[in-house]
Amino acid sequence: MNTTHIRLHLRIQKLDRPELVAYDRILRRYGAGCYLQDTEEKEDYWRVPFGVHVPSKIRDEKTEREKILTFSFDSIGEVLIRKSSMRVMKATPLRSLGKRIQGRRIEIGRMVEQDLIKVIGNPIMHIQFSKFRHALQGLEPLYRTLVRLLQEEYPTYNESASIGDYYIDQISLLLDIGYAQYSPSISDTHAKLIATNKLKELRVREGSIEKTIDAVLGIILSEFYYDLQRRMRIFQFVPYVKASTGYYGNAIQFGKLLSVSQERLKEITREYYRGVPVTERVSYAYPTIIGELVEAKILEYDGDYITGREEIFHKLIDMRSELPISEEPVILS
Amino acid sequence: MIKLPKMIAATGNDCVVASVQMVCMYWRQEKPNLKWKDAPVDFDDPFWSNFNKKGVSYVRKTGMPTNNIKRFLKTLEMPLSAEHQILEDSQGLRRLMDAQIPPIVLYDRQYYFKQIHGLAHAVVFVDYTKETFVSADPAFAPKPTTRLAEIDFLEAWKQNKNAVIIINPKIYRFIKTEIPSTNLLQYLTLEERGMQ
Repeated sequence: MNTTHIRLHLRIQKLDRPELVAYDRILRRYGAGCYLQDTEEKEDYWRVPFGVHVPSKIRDEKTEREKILTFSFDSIGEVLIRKSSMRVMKATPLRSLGKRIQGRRIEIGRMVEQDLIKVIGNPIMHIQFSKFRHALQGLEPLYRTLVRLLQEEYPTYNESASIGDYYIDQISLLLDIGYAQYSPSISDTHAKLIATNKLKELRVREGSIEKTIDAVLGIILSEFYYDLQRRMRIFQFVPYVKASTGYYGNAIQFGKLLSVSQERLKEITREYYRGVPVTERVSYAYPTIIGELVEAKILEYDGDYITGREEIFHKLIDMRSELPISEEPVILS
Repeated sequence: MIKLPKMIAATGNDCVVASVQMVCMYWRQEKPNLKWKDAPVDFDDPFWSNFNKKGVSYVRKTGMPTNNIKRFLKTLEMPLSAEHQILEDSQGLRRLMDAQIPPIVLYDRQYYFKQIHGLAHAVVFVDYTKETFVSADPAFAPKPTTRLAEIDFLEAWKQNKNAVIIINPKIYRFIKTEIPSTNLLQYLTLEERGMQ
């Protein structure tokens, strides 16, 4: 064994400033992805808040182009340094940092999801929601009531209530958006549910019952997506919205429409929704869900790959400037 | 110039692992007489691809903590030690390279290119000239070297407080001199102002 001892003289900075102590701690315990923010002086300690840069890799499988984007999350943690000893007295645990980063990414995901729902729910996009056969099971009362109203068959409150409370709950959504109303009657229970002029005008504009139903379903989805889950326990739309958000979320970060395989889209969706694995039932039905999203005109096929729709993408791309992301520099020539 | 045996490609937070791997390979080649347990000199051996995979598992969302580099090298029973240092200036980098120790430098690459703050990027420094530093950059692999203009690099390095990761054989010893952030002249000036 080589026993030569090499001695080397190194001049290092003395950790005599709070930001140096904090940075030393950050490098040791968290990693170089963190950055310091302005130090705050307190009575007997300094508070050094820090943020984190989180890289995200996005790849277009068709063109094999890849982009590394960096999310910047401010004030993700803090290091408190005692003035008397210039030592760390308290610091955010690494585990909490992980949770907070996840939380911020969920916020961004939710932002994209909300915007996407508003875009696809707008009747001008002509999304064919009735193609979501699986999702329609949960909205059957709404769907049936809409068909009846558009065929000018007006059920009484009693008739609907006799089927169950869930029926009345879903009809109330139509009342809320002003597409149906109860006719005045001697008693509430005998009141008939009738189509409003707003629904009749939509019917004329859309040209067919089927297209009118699609438009109303879109409006209900954009207005009540979260309400449907929380209050009415209707989750059937969730896998469709998640897959679409996963796709468009990545495309927005990439800055243009992407072409990805079905398997990759499943991974993207899982990553987008904080690593929660796709449930077995959804996993099994995934090709069907993608097929229905294409039929509904939210996604499109690009040969063997899946891509998005230009009209939807253009409505969403403006939000890219609102995201806390920056792009890695390009390769030097 | 320090000759690294192989370039390892990496992006995002994995650049630290790639840099650590390049430096470990360098020491494996340069110091064959050290107690290398399983690490072969053949750098295409699966040991080295597993090295990278295992290394990546030590990376957190916030990057690779330097404590984890130590742990990682320990689990592989490498005869190397790792530490991070906050150097006084770039002279320290030159000293390390003169001693044939390739330092892993953490600098803000986005700041270097675009003057905006970004992720700290790890590269291995292998040489220097009067006006440039020569780096082996995992993000530009297989390109063996990338030149960084010193004047811009120093600004970008300052964003990461002149941080450097040093991996060297355990038999190496460093004599460290801690330099206070306020020198005597500045201190006296401050005192004087305080008295006014």
